[in-house]
Amino acid sequence: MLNRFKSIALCLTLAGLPVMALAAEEGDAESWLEKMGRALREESYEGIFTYMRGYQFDTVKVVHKFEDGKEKERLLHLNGDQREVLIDGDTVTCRHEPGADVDLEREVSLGPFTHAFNENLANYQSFYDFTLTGHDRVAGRPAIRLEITPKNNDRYGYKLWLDEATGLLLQSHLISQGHVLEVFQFSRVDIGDPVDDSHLLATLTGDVVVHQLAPNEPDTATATAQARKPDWRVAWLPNGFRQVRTTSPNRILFSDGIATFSIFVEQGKSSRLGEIVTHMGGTVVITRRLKNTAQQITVVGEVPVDTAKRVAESVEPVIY
Amino acid sequence: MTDNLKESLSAWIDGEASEIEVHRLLRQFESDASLRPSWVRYQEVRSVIRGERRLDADIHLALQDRIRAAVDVEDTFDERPATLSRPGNRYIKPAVSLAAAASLVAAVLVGVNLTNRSPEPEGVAASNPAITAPAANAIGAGPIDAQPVSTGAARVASMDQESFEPDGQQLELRELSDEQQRQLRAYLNQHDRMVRMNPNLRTVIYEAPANQ
Repeated sequence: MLNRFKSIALCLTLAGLPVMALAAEEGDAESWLEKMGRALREESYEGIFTYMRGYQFDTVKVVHKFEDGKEKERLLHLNGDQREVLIDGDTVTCRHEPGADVDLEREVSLGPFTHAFNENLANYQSFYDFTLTGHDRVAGRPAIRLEITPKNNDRYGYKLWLDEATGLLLQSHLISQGHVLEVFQFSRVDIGDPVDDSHLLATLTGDVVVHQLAPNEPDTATATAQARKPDWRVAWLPNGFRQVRTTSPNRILFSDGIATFSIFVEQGKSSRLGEIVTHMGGTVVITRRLKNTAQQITVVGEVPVDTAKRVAESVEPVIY
Repeated sequence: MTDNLKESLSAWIDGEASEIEVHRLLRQFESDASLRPSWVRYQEVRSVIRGERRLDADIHLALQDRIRAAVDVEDTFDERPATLSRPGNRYIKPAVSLAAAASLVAAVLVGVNLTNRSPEPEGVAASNPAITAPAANAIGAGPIDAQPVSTGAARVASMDQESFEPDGQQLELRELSDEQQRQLRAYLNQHDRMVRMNPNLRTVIYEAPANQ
């Protein structure tokens, strides 16, 4: 009996150790988030991940290299039609076999976050709770678990598994009120080894269709954007969301530091889509007409549908 | 399959799995290759059962294809004799097969999702109350024309008070017409790209952005 008690006590002690170590040595959740943002851009890694968003699931081989301040990446889809996306700085090229209906697929970004985390938006702590929840193992690597819980149901929550050595995102769940909407997971990854440039070269060759996706916008467009104000405004944003990026007066990206959504306004072209409310995994797409005009507004992003609707409803024309 | 696992699976199919259970399912799949064939069969059985509930034929087929593909991959991935024998894709390269376990998990995830395309959305993605909420609501962004509007008109503004709305009529993107999908995906991709942009290079803040 005494022995049994001892072993229980021992178990409890051992179980407690990682938690104490976690608190003492590994910093806070916010610094892990910063580490993650940096790792997504600046680490070099090669691996295979799956990303399930609603009915679309992708298994993708990724090669990522950071060199001279520039990211290079190759994403090769392993399921379905042969497709490959090559990223070199701001240039994105898509290669696919003839006949593949790439318009019907969503391009793959690396998990749900990519650049969203290095925005340095102040006070996002006001809208989420961040908790380190322990250690785990993903793709054979020790991982640290992090939970991001919204204080309000107007946005989603996240569970993240970050590589302990580098902070790279190894796995994530996008959660809405306890239900998992999206799952991202590396099944294998090598991080930090030098990436051979040949691994970044296109592997789909021969009879393939190559199309360059427009770079995000040439710099001149940015300059123009600065000169031209949009003739619409958003009257309501969820608390903490701010305009963070725009490539033209017709597209603006908003973020609270964690979640993002974009608003597009098509000018001078009447909407053929009408009013649509739809979703793919945790991403909502809403179209409607701008008040008193024929212009189409589209709200796209990783926010609950009611939040997106309220935003869409609040967009209004501005007359200067 | 342990009782725990069965319970989790059942909860998931009913749209009631907790985060912990979802995680356990993922974990079990990864760690125990012998479970996969029975998972797949389980899914097939469920889909047949669900078939009584107006499972669309094309969705059913898509599900079957996914299952078949998953089994094929598994045949290659798992060297042991396959429980469900099918002409597998033997040419798959080792690098690809490494991903097979994970993609099978995803296939099953999607499978669960698909089997729940019944009038009462209950699947993983569909069970998000926010997402299955009726398209008609207080702020008035209406549904597309063809879509029956839920008459539960007055929606409470506070999301905290939302409950499951089993009559939610919101369509998934792929249920729209090809042309609509094409146009909407263009926005999706643009959004993804904006998110990906290097913020140091391209942030533009207007003087007085619309705010609050």
